[in-house]
Amino acid sequence: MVLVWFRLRDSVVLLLMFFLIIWGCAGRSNKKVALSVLWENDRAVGLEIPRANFPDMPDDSVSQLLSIHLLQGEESAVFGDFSIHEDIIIYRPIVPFTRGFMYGLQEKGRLVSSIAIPLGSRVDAPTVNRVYPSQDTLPYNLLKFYIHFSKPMREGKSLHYVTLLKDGKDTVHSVFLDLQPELWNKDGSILTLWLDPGRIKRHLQPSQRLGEPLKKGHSYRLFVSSGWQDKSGNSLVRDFTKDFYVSVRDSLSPDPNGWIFNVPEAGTTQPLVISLNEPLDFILLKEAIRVADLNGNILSGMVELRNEESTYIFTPEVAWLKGIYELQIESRLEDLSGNNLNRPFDRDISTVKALTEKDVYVREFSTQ
Amino acid sequence: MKKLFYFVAVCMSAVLLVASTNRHAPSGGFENGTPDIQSISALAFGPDGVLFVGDSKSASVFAIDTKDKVVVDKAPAVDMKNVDQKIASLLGTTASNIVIQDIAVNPLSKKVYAAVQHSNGTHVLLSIEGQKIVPVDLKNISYSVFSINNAPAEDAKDQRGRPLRVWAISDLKYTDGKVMVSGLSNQEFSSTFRVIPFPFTSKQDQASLEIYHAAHGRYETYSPIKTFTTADLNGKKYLVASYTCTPLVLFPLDELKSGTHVKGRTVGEFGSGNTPLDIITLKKGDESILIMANSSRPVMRVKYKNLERYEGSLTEPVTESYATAGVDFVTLPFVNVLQLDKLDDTQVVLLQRRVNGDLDLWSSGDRWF
Repeated sequence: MVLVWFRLRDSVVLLLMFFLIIWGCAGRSNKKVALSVLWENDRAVGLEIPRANFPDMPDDSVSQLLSIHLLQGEESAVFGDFSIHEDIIIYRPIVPFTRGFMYGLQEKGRLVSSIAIPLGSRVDAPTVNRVYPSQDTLPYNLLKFYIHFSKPMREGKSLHYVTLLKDGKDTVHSVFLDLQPELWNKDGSILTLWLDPGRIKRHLQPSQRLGEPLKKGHSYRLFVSSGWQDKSGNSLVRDFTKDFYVSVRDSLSPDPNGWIFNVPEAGTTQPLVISLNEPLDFILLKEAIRVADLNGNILSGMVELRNEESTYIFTPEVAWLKGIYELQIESRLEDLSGNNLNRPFDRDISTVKALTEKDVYVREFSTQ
Repeated sequence: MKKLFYFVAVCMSAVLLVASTNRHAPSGGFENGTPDIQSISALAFGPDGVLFVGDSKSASVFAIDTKDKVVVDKAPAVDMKNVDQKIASLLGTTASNIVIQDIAVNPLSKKVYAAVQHSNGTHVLLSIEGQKIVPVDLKNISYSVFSINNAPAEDAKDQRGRPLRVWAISDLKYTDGKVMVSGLSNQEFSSTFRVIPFPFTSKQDQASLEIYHAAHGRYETYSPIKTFTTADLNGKKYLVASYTCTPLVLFPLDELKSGTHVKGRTVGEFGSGNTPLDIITLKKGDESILIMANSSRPVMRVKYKNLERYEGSLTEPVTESYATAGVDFVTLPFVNVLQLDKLDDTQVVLLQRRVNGDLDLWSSGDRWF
């Protein structure tokens, strides 16, 4: 009987303690503050806080009494601004919230509510679209890769995610140049990755010690890990691989005089098709070549590259007239090994003749 | 009469106030507003509290009037442990989601400024004073901008209509009324170096140079400059540049003229498998010294008087693995230093990854250098 009484008493005490804790917690948070996330361009740029939850708080005290914290250990108040819009308090951090993290709203240093910023939908997850050069046989003094993603990617840690495997088993170390800042296009969707030029250039110490990064006659796999996240925090849908075989060194400048022109008929908007005899740099082909009439007017049109960047196709917006046109090629146009029209990538001044230093090379063609 | 006296006094005060304000305001080319800074790749201070921000994404250099002009002669020591975690927490994220792109010390206030990139692509400018980190508000400020792009023509695009061109700023310095910018292109593997007179004017006058150095007397090497400083050597101003494969190369500043190709003199080869990260010039007594941080080597010290004495150019390849050649230098007991700047004439502030993985911002007196 006594034992039952003690158990009953303990249960009541425990129950009372439980209610006290619940009441205490409720008293601490005192209110149910329903936070909602403010989204802009798929970024969590703010939080909406109902003003009604803080009826006694003067408007000019909101930013002193409320604060937002990352819910992870003892975190400082996040930099941001509170503003009041009628019945809503809007908090905007100076940097959008990080997806996958939880944030808490504190009133006078006490947690009153929290909210999780959801991860992005896998439907929106990024992919690697293309890698240039497109060829599967590349020179052993290859200078760079361009990696095209479907979304803007996280910058600054590329070499954590890109590796090169030799003959399907060995990771090639120190093969890429570790550059900060990394070379991304404006929206962060195209990365330029240099193979360490010190290892390509003859007689520089890295090439003496480590040898060229790619070895002739071997197979390689460029591997992009699916661990890489885009700027919204979504990881790549899958790993990406590009297999290629390494052939001879290319030490010769591209020669526009050897290019074969397939000239369209006058009065049509048929494309001008030029066979370049070798694959050239993807970006420079688009940037460094123009078609002009004899008065020097640059023609508007669309540029397309085919046959693994070895065919240049220009389709004009306006029909060709009968007469002579110019293909203007800036000397900075490079092949896959960094040899441009004026000079090879590294120049042995003891054996090579004097450089031609032209800014623009011109090939004329006439339409009939 | 009393009223008239007060009126005159108020007018005189106003005139004095305007005069004193103008005296400290940056001259020419500045406007009030919110600069469209899309990225912060490099920072450097100029005169009168002007901070230069190198923005690779918009290919521009912004000059920002920080209004941080209270002169402090001797900087207090800097010692902030786990600076990346502290910054990340204030930005509502974790250290793995941020990169400290650059640090710069205001030579007037000795306050440290840091450019931080968030993994979601946002860039933030912060100032650090003691244990306090404060965001630098870039809204409605006084600023001036210089566009680096020579050709404002529309950039080429890929099949999805995305621009292809990149011109990344690798380093930025101010000296003698000029902003110097070294850059990397994603197209050609060469260095473009720009000398931009400051204050920026509407009629822009810039020198765009392609500079290269002779490697081992046989191969001419075009390669991007990673970091640089300027120095007086034997009474002549030089650009002291370090390339992506660690040679130290000298260029006479007066030869860097628009449209020229300038060949530098390689005076040091500081070892392979390494990328220079930052260079500063420091005074030690009457002596000027160069301090260089590296990706895979400790911080190095070179005495400018040794550079002055070193008249040669490296003519023989360095054949021994990891060996060095050229001008004498000393390696200092600091490894994994990611960023450096001069805190004052005798102190250096370092951003260093410690052996235990912590990233600390701290300053060191000249006894270490």
